[in-house]
Amino acid sequence: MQEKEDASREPFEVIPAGDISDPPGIIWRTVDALLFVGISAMLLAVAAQVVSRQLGASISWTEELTRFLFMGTTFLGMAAGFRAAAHPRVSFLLTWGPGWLNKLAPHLYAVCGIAFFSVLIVQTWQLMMQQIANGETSPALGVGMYFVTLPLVIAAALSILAHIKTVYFSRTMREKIQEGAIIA
Amino acid sequence: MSLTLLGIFLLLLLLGVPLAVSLGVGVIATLLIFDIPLDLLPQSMMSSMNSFLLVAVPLFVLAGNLMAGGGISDRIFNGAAVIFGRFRGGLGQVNIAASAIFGGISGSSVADVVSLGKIEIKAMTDHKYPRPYAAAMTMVTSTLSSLMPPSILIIIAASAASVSVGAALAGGLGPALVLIVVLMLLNYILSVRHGYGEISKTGFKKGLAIVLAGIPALGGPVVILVGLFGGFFTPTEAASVAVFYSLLVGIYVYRDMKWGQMPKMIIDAGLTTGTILLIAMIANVASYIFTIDGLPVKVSNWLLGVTTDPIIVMLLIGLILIIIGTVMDIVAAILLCSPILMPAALAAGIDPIHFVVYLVAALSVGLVTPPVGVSLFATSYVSRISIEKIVRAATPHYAVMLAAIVLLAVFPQLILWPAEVLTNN
Repeated sequence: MQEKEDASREPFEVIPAGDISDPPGIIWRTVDALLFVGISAMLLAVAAQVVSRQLGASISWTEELTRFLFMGTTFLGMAAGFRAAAHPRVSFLLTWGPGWLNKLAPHLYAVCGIAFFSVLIVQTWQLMMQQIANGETSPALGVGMYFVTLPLVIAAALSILAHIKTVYFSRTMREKIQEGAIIA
Repeated sequence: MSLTLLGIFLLLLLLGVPLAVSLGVGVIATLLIFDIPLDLLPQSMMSSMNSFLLVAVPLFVLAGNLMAGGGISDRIFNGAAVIFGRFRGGLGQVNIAASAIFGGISGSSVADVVSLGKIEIKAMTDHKYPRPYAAAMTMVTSTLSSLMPPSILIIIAASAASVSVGAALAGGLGPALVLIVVLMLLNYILSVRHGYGEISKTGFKKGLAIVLAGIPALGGPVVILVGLFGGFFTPTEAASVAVFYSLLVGIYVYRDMKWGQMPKMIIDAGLTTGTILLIAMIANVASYIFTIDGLPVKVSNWLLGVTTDPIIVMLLIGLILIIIGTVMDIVAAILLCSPILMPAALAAGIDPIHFVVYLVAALSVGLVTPPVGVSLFATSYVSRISIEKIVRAATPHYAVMLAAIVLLAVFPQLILWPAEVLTNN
């Protein structure tokens, strides 16, 4: 028999990843724009590779361009994921565990995220400086490799910003993090 | 070294810190404690993403978004409903067939539940299937997307294990077919025994129109599979073809989508990819630490100390993977378990393609089980039914999934034969 909607459903909630209550500011609108442009360009570059090969005149630089665009958009997507608190996490202890754990969770979330990305920024920056000093360039496009590494530095900084914003400046997102909502 | 990393990772994970960050903090702490240079972190993260193959991930995610937004999912379901709806348990079989076809383009289990799930659960409950049963079927069939080519998870696993992605994708077809058959049998038996669902017959003219409307939707998987296994495209190129095909069908054939909807779908695809692949980046550093600590060798020696029989080794590996899969996100589990368990499997004489596909199949059980099954949460959300009720209704499905895992361990040809036939690997 058909059942009515279950009124006593679990306290989990699945939120579409892109569905964020707080409107994006200029920084996140720029990130969104870069994601759009980057992925569209990546798509066109792969298509150009297929078409040129079928026509018997393969373009040599599309593969490298695609990889670099992919790396850049993945790093930015990672930061956008923190803005939406969309990174997978195990939340059953938060849901069923003691109240103090629930209160501690957002702070631990912020501290760990900020610590990790701070180390990442410093280390990636040093890597980028080495690449500049050594004059490393990519084989097909001939662009400086620092140009490929830079998006990771920017994305790590944006991730820190996203942690601070979601936990300390957005009540909605903080509640989601505290409740252990599942964002898919 | 490995224990320090895993200990910190698991502690933070249980305290609600995102999986990738928990692993990242564990990695940094281990590097600091054991005096390993921290520059390993960015170098390894960068090199893990410098792969043309992984470009397929955002493109297949985008294809899934386009299928859902462009009405392709609806047409797949409606077409299958006309064909199978006339039999006892028919809509249950439609649920299975539609997920298999959807998986043949999107390769994402959660996308399957979110886009097809609503339609499937509504149609099944409207035709007098118990709602928890409809939800359980929807959830379990979503795992087909993890196995049907072009599974995103198999692409990631094959890439991490350095085996042929084409052969691994083709190998996934075998377990997908096994799962389709066992789920269809189970659905038929349960429907007959409990009288689930009413038979729905559609008139010839109307039925023909619906099936014809579904043909462009079915063209997607056909183009991808023929292109991929016919040697016309690489997996990444197949992903771009899937995007263009879904886009053209959604906008110009079905007219359910407008160009204006594209930016949001593309941005969402970028966000989803970032969340999936951050785990992959950090897991790459963790794998390096496991390797220099000799963890794969230790695990291999332990497993081969228990038995050298390849079937028993695979069953033991399957058991370990199912347990890990229930408590860990599947992408992280693939990337962490692959380098640790693969040496043992290879030493026992198991084919690498068999191992990679089996790894994904066994871990995909965790997608539908508590406490971290994302397909389970997504199903609970779209069906508005509690997790407990879905889990209870899915008990027989869990049993047949486990039986399928045993079959895959015992009969490697179920994976290797499609891989050989489709890719000459």
